Amino acid sequence: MISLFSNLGILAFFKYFNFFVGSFEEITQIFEENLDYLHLNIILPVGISFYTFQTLSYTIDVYRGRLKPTNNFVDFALFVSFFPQLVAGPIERASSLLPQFSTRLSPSKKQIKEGVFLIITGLFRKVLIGDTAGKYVDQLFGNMQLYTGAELIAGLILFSIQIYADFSGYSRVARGTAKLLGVDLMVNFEQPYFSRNITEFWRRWHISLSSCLKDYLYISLGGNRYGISRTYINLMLTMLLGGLWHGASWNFVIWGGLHGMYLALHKFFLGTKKVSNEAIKRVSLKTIFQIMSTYVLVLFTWLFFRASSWEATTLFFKKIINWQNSEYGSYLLLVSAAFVLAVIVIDLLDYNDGVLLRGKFSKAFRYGALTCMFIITLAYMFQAKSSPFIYFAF
Amino acid sequence: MEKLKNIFFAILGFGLMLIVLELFFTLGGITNPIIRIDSKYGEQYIPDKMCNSLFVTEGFGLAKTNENGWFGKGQPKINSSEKTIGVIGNSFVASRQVFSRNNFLNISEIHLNRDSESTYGVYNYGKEALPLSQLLHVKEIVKEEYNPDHILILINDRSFKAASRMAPFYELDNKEQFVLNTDFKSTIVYKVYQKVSWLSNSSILFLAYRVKNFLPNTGRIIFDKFYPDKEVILVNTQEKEQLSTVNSKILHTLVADKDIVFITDIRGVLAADVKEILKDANTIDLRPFLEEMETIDGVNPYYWEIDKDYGHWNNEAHKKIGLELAKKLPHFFKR
Repeated sequence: MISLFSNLGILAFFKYFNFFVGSFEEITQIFEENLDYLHLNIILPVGISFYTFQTLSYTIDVYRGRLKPTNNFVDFALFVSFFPQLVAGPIERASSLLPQFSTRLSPSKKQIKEGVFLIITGLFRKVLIGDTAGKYVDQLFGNMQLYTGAELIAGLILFSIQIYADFSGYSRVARGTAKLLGVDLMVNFEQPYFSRNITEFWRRWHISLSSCLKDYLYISLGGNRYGISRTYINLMLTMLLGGLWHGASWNFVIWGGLHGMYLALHKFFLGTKKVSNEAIKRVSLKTIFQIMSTYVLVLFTWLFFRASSWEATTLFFKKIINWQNSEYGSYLLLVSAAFVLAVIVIDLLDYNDGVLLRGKFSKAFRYGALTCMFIITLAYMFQAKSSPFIYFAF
Repeated sequence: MEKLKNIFFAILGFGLMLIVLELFFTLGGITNPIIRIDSKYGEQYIPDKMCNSLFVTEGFGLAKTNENGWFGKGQPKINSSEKTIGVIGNSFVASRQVFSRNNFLNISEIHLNRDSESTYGVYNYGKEALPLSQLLHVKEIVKEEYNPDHILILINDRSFKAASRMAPFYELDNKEQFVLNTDFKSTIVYKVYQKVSWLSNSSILFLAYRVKNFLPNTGRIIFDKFYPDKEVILVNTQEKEQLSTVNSKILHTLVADKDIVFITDIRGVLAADVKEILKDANTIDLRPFLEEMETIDGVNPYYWEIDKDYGHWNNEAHKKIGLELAKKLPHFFKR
């Protein structure tokens, strides 16, 4: 209990103190009270949400008897502060990392090869897809009143690409760096935009977080053990808190709430049926429709994630209602289509453990292509202003 | 044999990836070449092209060229009753940082037409990195080819820099007479360009070509964390302590043309010299007005909030300048 409270206490203080005070202040303003003096000038420690979750998982696993407590403080400290995944995950379980740290770390040839591959492809995703999409997004969302509905829709599509490329790129670089040190980290993304429904999306998107939310929050709340209505409540609560985990803003709470609602509705329509974990084997019109509908539902939620405030969110809707097209709108929609296509191609190559590529191209061909990717990524990085990883802010 | 086969496949892989990235760079508008080198005009924007670059560090780098290779709308029809206003200047006129509907040319056109019985058309003849020595040549081209009813010329601190673009520029001969320097046509870059101009449309090659500009800063780029933040120098007054003879003569030549209205925004030490030359000319000095924006409205007209960078006029400045021009220009046109 001490561990739980101290971990959550630190997180609550650094991340949520001003948020709750601010929200309380807004309520009290109705009664003409001013609580402005309660705001503190807090600097948020980088990656606090990630390592808090990681230490919590250790405590809960030990409490549940799934993990033996470690006697080695250095191993534990390394587990909490392992630099490749310290600031933005993947959120690793102690049961996966501690056994690796207790042996002598020396990367195998296979790990080095995989590591280099992951770093190059991760860098490509982050820099050439994520950062470039982000340049459009920052301008469009930073000054929304200047742009038309079509331009802002293009901005939203580009944000869906930016956040995926940025975060999955980071996770790849983290996994690749860890492999070079002889450590295997978990896969954090499995082509989430190819999901056929929202439940599958959450099995493929930020897997380390969604599995943590499921194991340590949803199940702790009772999961589906106390009847159907409690299951829906638990789902909603889990996703609302998952939203709040991302940032101290009501927009994140709404984002989580929408996903909770989607998941609850999906569960309601599924009834007793289970969602299949099988990869897509044959592409049919029905599959394409399912993928596209899931993407549109997710896309809608990204608006709440990206918009800086409730006012910005409503302005977006106003611009959509008062629809105006422009030549920039058509151009930006084409640009966003190019980014979507780029992500489809790289995800297709990765899908189902790269089954599409297996045995198709020689090693030399792949090395050539990878070298080209790396050189062009460097050439771009050399000239562009650096952009921080989005999830560093959480 | 196996080795040769591997080399062949590696090159093939490299080449195919290059093609894929070329497509992505072009369609995604990450960066694309926007300049062609013409024998008459030198570096000129490629006509009818949506020019985009994500390397622009202030706002968007997005603007469409018309059929003549200038940003903004195309020329009016021959028998149009529209009164045409041609605006000549550097990147502040080209204004790629803001969408054309939000730049000062478009805003002034809307307001001029709203408050007047005549129909005005404001045309953009802005070219990035256009010093006075090249501006004079551009003015001649604009007069000769488009003959606008009124000409506006923007002069700011950047107008006094040395010519850096491959384009004709005016200089003075021994008798202090203007001569048009077209030496760019004898440069290697120009000759190579003439042979492989089709390659100049490649986004990837353009990206690679640009790398050379950054090579001197390699250390700073790679080890940026170890370098202190650069101090922001808004106006480099060191370079422009004195108005050069050629610039002074160009200004006098332009002033002699009474059809020209000057728009000035000079913050450096040359302000007084330029003011003296322009004292009898039709001039709209934006300085006091832009300073007011900063002191009264609290908006720095050169600051880009999203990019956290200083540079060209931002959206707010464009709006205010557009309104200001629409207010003041009719007064000059009546003269």
